[in-house]
Amino acid sequence: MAVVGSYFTGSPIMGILLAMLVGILISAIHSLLTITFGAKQAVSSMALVLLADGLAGVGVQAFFKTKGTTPTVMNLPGSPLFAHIPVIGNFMAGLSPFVYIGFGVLIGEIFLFKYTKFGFHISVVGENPTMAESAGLNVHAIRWISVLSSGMLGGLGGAMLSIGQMNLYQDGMIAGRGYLALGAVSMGRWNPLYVYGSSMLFGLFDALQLWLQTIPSNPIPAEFIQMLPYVAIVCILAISSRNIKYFGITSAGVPFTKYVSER
Amino acid sequence: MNAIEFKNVTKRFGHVVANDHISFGIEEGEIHALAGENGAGKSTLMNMLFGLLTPDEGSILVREKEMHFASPREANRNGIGMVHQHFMLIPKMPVYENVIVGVEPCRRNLINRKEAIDKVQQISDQYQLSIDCSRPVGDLTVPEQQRVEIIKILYRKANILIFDEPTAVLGPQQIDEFCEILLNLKRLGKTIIFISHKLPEVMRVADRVTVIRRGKVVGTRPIRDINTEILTTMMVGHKVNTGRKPRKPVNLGGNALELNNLWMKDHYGIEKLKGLSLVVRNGEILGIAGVDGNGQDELDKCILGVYTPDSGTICMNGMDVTHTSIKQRRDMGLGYVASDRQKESLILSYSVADNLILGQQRKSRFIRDKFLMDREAIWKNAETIRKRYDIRCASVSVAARTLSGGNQQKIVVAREAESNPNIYVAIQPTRGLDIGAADDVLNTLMDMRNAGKGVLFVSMELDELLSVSDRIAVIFEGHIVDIVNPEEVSREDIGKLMLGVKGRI
Repeated sequence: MAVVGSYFTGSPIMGILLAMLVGILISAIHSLLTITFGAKQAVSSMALVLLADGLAGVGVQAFFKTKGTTPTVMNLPGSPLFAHIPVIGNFMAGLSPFVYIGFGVLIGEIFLFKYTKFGFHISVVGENPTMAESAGLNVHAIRWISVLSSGMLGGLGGAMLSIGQMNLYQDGMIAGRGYLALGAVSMGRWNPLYVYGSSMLFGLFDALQLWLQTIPSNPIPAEFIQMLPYVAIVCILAISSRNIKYFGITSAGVPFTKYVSER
Repeated sequence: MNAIEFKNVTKRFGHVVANDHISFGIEEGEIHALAGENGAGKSTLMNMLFGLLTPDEGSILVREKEMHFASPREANRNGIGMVHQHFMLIPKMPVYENVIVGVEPCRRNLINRKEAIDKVQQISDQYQLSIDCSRPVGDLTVPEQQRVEIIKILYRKANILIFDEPTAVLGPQQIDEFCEILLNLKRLGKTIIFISHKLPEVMRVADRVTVIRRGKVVGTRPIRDINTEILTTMMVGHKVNTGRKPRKPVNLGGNALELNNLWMKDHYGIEKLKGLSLVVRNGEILGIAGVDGNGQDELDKCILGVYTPDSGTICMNGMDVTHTSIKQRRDMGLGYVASDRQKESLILSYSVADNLILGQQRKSRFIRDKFLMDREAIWKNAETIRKRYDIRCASVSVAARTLSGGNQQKIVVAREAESNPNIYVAIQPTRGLDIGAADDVLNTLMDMRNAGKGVLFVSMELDELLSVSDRIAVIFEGHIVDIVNPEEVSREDIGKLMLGVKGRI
């Protein structure tokens, strides 16, 4: 959607905002199904992944009358804002603004979970909704807000690919990076800073993979090299998941219904 | 002045009247016990007081003002707190975070952790609960976690504390400590409602007791006016025969079960069974006494066939079954009542009727046309058993989940008894049951014995073992240290053996 936004307004910023908005809308469907109606998260999310994938393909045709690839649009390749800083200015200006947005989100999250009441309530609702309910928290409202924000961040992530790294959308360019996020969260043990670190690690493997492909007369077929980040995740997860006390969030993904007397 | 007063409180669930015009008062500053069998309606009543349920009729007065709590939070605001049987805690979070949820000390929506820690620690110190409030709850023992729950409600400034069967999760030593805490809270001016069906602790800490039976108040009595026997009668309605049950003389036949020199290591390589040998004869109840964790678990799983011992042999009716499957053993006539009925013996979402044939579904009497389940036979079977064993349920087609613990256990005990076994193994079959249901279960064991079967009965309750066993084998560190005649030993003697004080008495 970022490409659509950027294409029609000529402003990549509008593209990002539109992407985040659509992210929120899609996650609203997820919230409605899983939180309000208590559907299984795995089922709802699989359906939404297929839906979003299909919509993107259809959208490309509907908006641009082309198949599979959009025309190129205004993108955000660098951050000229930082160009005037001495010594490192050029380096900083060369990085995508998404890098800085990512930093901002990280700091915001650490602050949210470490210091604020609302962040604390989010953790409690994830760990033990029954307890949260009995302490007077509105479990459903908190979960809705959490899922909507994650949808918003998801939209931001998607925009990073289409108008951050590239300047167009192509079918299949996401290549399962959303699933990598699952791995990063799990490996980072639900701690924002560690998750960020894990993501960087996966990013490193991704960069490595790209670099390997550029080596001339490389005997390894490109398909194998492209597998690298995903294989790395599987290996790291297998190793890092052992011997951990209190692993994961107890009630993440578990529907919560209000107390009903069992008799 | 009454802190709480119930006036004609009635609550129905469908056709079942859980609370029937309940009226009684709880005085300010007393420890008031609420006693009654499982399913008598104690928890329903407390859930109404706590705002989790709403009464259909009648009123609840808090300090002489009529109150209608729509949620636990409202009850909290009016100074009522409840410690549930199942703790509501988050193991990975520190104690103080668990305590402050929903009532965080804040400055502009930012949590003031220092103030939180100070406040929580102060409560722990003031009520002598000795909890280090910055440790993660998951690192604490069960009684410590229970004290965190107490801190939670004290932090919310509760004056009236409800405890829902608080001692169910505690060992004997821990119960003593818990009683001290209750008395201490009372000294500091709190009003305490204490739900329990364990009589000794009720007699020990309560000032007054209200007994509820089948949803009705039997009476409220000051503790000094009654004794355990009166209380028991009030709870179960008829005088319970606490002595020995009728024991017909039976010709001791051959050996139903023989265990010879069993050795077994667990997953960690620790020897759990060390040369255990015992014999269960036909027509006797052999009781197994012992402190939990001395090899009982391995013993019963070896008999059932879940584990194979590293060495030694197991014989049923004279045949070596050491290396046979569970199914083969069951087909040879092994009835087995597992220690955890909900996990190992029942499928809670299945109907009572289906649960009553679990494990016997292959038997020809439940099959028609070679491979179809005979629904009618299953239903008839269930109806017969329900009447014979007095299983209380709305109908045999309701889910087993909807029954009380005692009635769930009756399903298991009846099913295994009706499968016509030669050997009946029952592992802690009365755990968590009230007196009436426990009695029924023990009577079934006695019936099996009187019918000439061999019964192996593992229990943690010495009184039970003494009252039904023909012989008691004491297990300690993986072997039988002694076999005693219950008529010739005292509780203390068995206690010594259980703790490994060696040799014959």
